[in-house]
Amino acid sequence: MKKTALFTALGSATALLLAASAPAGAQSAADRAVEAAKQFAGTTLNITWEAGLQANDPLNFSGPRWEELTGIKINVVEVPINELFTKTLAEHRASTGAFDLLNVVPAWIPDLAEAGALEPLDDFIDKHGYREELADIAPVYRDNQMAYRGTIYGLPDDGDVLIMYYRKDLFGDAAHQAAFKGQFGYDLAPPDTWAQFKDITQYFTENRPHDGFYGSAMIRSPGLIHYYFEERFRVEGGEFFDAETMKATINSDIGVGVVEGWIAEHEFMPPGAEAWGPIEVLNAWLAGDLAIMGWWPPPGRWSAGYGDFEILSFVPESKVAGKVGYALPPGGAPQLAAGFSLAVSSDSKNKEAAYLFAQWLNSREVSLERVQLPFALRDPFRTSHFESPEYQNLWPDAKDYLATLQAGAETGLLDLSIRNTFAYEESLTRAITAAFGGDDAKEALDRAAEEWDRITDRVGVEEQKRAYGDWIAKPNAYPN
Amino acid sequence: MSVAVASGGGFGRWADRRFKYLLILPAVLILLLVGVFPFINILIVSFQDISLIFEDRSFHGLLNYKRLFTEARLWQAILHTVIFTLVALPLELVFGLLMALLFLEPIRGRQVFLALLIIPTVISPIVAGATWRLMFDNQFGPINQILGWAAGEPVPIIWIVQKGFVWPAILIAEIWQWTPFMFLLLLAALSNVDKSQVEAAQIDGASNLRIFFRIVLPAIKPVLAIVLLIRALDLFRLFDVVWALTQGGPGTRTETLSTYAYVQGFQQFETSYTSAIAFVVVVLLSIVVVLALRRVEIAR
Amino acid sequence: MARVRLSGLHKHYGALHAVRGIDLDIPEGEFTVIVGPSGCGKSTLLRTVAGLEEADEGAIEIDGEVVNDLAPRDRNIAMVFQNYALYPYMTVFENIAFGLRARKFPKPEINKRVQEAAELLDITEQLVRYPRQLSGGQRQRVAIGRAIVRDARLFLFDEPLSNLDAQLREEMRAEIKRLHQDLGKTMIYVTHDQVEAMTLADRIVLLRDGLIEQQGAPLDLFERPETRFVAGFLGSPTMNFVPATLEASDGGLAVRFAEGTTLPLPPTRAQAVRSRAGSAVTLGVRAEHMSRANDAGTREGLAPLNVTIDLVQPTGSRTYATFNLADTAVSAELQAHDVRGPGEKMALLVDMNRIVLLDPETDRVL
Ligand SMILES: Nc1ncnc2c1ncn2[C@@H]1O[C@H](COP(=O)(O)OP(=O)(O)O)[C@@H](O)[C@H]1O
Ligand SMILES: [Mg+2]
Repeated sequence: MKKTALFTALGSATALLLAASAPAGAQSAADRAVEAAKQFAGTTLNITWEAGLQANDPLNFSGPRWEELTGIKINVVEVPINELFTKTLAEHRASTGAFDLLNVVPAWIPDLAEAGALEPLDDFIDKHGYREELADIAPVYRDNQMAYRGTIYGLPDDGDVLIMYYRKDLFGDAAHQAAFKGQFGYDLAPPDTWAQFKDITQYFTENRPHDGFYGSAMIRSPGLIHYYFEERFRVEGGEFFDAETMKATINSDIGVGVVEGWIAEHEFMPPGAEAWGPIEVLNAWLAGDLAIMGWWPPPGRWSAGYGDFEILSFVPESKVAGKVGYALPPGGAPQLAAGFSLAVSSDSKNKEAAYLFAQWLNSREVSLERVQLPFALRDPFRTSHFESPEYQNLWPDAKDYLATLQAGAETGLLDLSIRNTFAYEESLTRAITAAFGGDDAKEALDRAAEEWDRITDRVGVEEQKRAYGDWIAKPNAYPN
Repeated sequence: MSVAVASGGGFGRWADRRFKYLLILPAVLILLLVGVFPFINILIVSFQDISLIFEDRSFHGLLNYKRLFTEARLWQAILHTVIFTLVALPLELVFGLLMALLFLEPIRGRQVFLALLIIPTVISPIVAGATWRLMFDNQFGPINQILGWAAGEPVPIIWIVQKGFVWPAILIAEIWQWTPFMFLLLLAALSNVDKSQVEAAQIDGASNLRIFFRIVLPAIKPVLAIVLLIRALDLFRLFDVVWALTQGGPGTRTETLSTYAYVQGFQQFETSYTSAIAFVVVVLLSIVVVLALRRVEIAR
Repeated sequence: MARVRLSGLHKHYGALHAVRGIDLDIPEGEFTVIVGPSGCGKSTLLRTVAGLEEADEGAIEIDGEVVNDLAPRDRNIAMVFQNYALYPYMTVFENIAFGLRARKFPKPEINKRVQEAAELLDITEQLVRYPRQLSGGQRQRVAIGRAIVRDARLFLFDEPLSNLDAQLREEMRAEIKRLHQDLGKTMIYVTHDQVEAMTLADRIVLLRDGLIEQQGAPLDLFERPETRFVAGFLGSPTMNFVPATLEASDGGLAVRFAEGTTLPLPPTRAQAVRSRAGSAVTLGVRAEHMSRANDAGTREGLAPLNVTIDLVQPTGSRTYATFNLADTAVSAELQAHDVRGPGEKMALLVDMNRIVLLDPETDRVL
């Protein structure tokens, strides 16, 4: 016993000694980043961040803390998400060097890396001893959202995954269980298939606990709807392209089935739900008006009523605290929709300082604090986050929540990421909204498939085939 | 001064004779800088191949212009824009004119009404679009509410989604925002019509219709032409309301030239292709404007 | 041709009472001139007759028919405006033809009538031109042409000559008078110019502050004004008004000024004002009713007055000499050579038969 203590003490002393002589010693990656960054004290780093809630992290938490530790000022440039890519690329093309550190959606990494906008990070990672902590990032993010063709360009920094939230209290209600089983012949539980999902929404719409209650609402707004298409389409067996010819195959029966399935489900959603975005869904959910819905991870925290910060005033008070169950969506392979990685701009004049800030933000200790910030939109992405006892005790069901996120991080599906992905997404989205508006789903998807082929032609069939090949080679491009 | 300059010799005399040109020189230079330079830049870029994927600044001939002619979506957007202009412009004109005629008579509370009527035109189109999005909200929007009262039962129209309703929604918002502009300028023009001419015509025995078409209309024609031109050009660039309400959807049903160009240029980064569109549009509109101005004899 | 009758006519513009109870009877074929200072309500009255303004109270009758509720186009009248109100986007021909076309006259008839009107007004050459290409006088003729081409029963003129220069004004005045003689139509003519009123009118209606001050034949009004306002408004230069007292002298009456100078009244005039003896009066005398005393002696009713000339204004045939009487500047119209210059002392003769005596309290003629 005494011996052990002595050993530990000795070990610590050695560690201290080592740390003093070699920077890559036993210190944490966060501390190393701070130490190394001190040489850049007095400089200012310009960092892009999604405008709005997201930016509260660097503005109110990590930015000021970093400046206190290192003397490096952080200037947050807030950019709306739909302009973030354009702005990043435009500044690079104009070589303005306006940004040092970049928030990039992982699916953009191929395009931005090809354009030369991103600085390779491998050397910095080795120099500042960050490899080991990178290994702690959940595999799906680590293996898919970091590198392009073998080079690391971004540190995965946000565990975005679209999971399902359902009303544990209603699903567990004996009367509902009996009635549901009587009507549909199987047990009422979080759905394994989208057909079950429809049964459940029908059931709860027809047997609503109060006026204004509906079975479900899902995010259907342009700009986001394609994530849900990509997920359900692949879960049900669809493939985006014929890998041989690169002809688009989104207009297959599976694709048409997805869109027609949605249209049928709208019957059991609030009127006008075909145009609902995240906010509308969230509001209805927190008001207790939905039996089941899909979203990114934050509603897990907000539903629990944990973290009523002033900044969050736009989120209505939760009426569902303690009544929420978490599940993977039907098919068990959730879309890893968007997400963020931290990347260093190749035009930066302070690349190393920018990298060090990213390493510090992304490090085990600091990121654990960040994903627990009540107002944060950064979601758990490290194994150590999922298994953090501190986090697991934030609210009574937090353990289940983290378990679901962790499960999603294993089976999650990557966003389609090839060359010119935006063009494909835009075309697909228009087909979907056209069908919502009353056009025939098959015809709309046929048109989109034609447009996809034209986009592919413009990119170059071979070039795109190579990019698509790279993408499907990743373990989570299609369900296993 | 002219004596002193004349004795000053050649340059002085030249400068004196060219004085008026020297006066407008700075303005011309600024115009060149802000107008012509970007225009030339667009022209150059339109012959290159710059997009999300490539940044190829070599000469690619008519590549982008060829694509322009084969892109059905572009032509659909142009068609939408033209048809919308042809529908919205006369409606705005008629409403604006009727309102202006109404306001010519001194009525109680005229000033207050005027101030209220001008609000739509002075708020930014983005805000107007957002406002109309709320107005058209299928559940909480006043439009469905009012229609519901009229119909005696809830009206389930989802204005910004259902294909039969998206264009009417845009039309209503656009007319709401811009009729006051028409109204204001026409009111100013009508107030300037010589009242005694109208009275003379009344005494001459002309009907109100005849007076309007023979006396009033010719008098306000120059203003009318300019207003129509300004609004036609505005409508041709229709963007904010569409973007706020439908983003061109469902599908591409409400896509206009501007929303299409925005999508191509700023969402898909098809810089060269978008430049080609912009160039063609600028050239076509310039021709239209010059012809129109010549017609109303404002440019000589 | 039409007979016009206005009774109890009132017109307000908000709080402003512009026409305050007009009764007027205009017989068929008469040329009536409504005259008065600017803002007295002449135009308003005329426009009410035309139907361009609605009467607030009272009746407008034309040929026995009450027309208050008829639109201007249904009153069958014609009107010439001060600013001509020509239609700028039409040729002269179209301007004149406008009313005929509006009333659906057949084409040949229109051509004939326009041609006739143009010949009458001597503007045949201008028919193809536009108003902006015409001189002021020509525009005026077009405006008149537009009025006469239809067989309107009543013609209204609102200061039609006030935008013309003096010479043209005289020409057009004569022409309008001739037109009235030729057409024989009832005409109501508004002007603020008393010379125009005097020369044109069969009857003058003098308007003041929305009320008729006096009406009658021009010479009647000129010679027998009932008020200081009428006396002062008609005639040029304006009548001189001098404060004085009426006193008994030698069994007759005399006008006595503050300086002590007196002017005896002829017995015929004295009769009417005898009761006023001893009270203050205002003497009204026109410049042309004073002359220089000369050796030729005096007539009955001419009273001598010794004055010192302050100011001399020659006009050519006549010279206006101004002198001071009872602290009032008085102007006399003399022969061109009767006066040499300021400071000259001379004796004038005042035609006491033509003076007016006014009650200074009421400004009414005694
Ligand atoms: N449309 C009007 N609105 C208000 N006041 C008016 C209007 N027309 C005339 N007036 C006023 O009515 C009075 C009479 O005007 P008017 O008949 O034009 O006078 P006149 O023609 O004798 O010069 C004036 O005080 C004038 O300012
Ligand atoms: Mg007048």
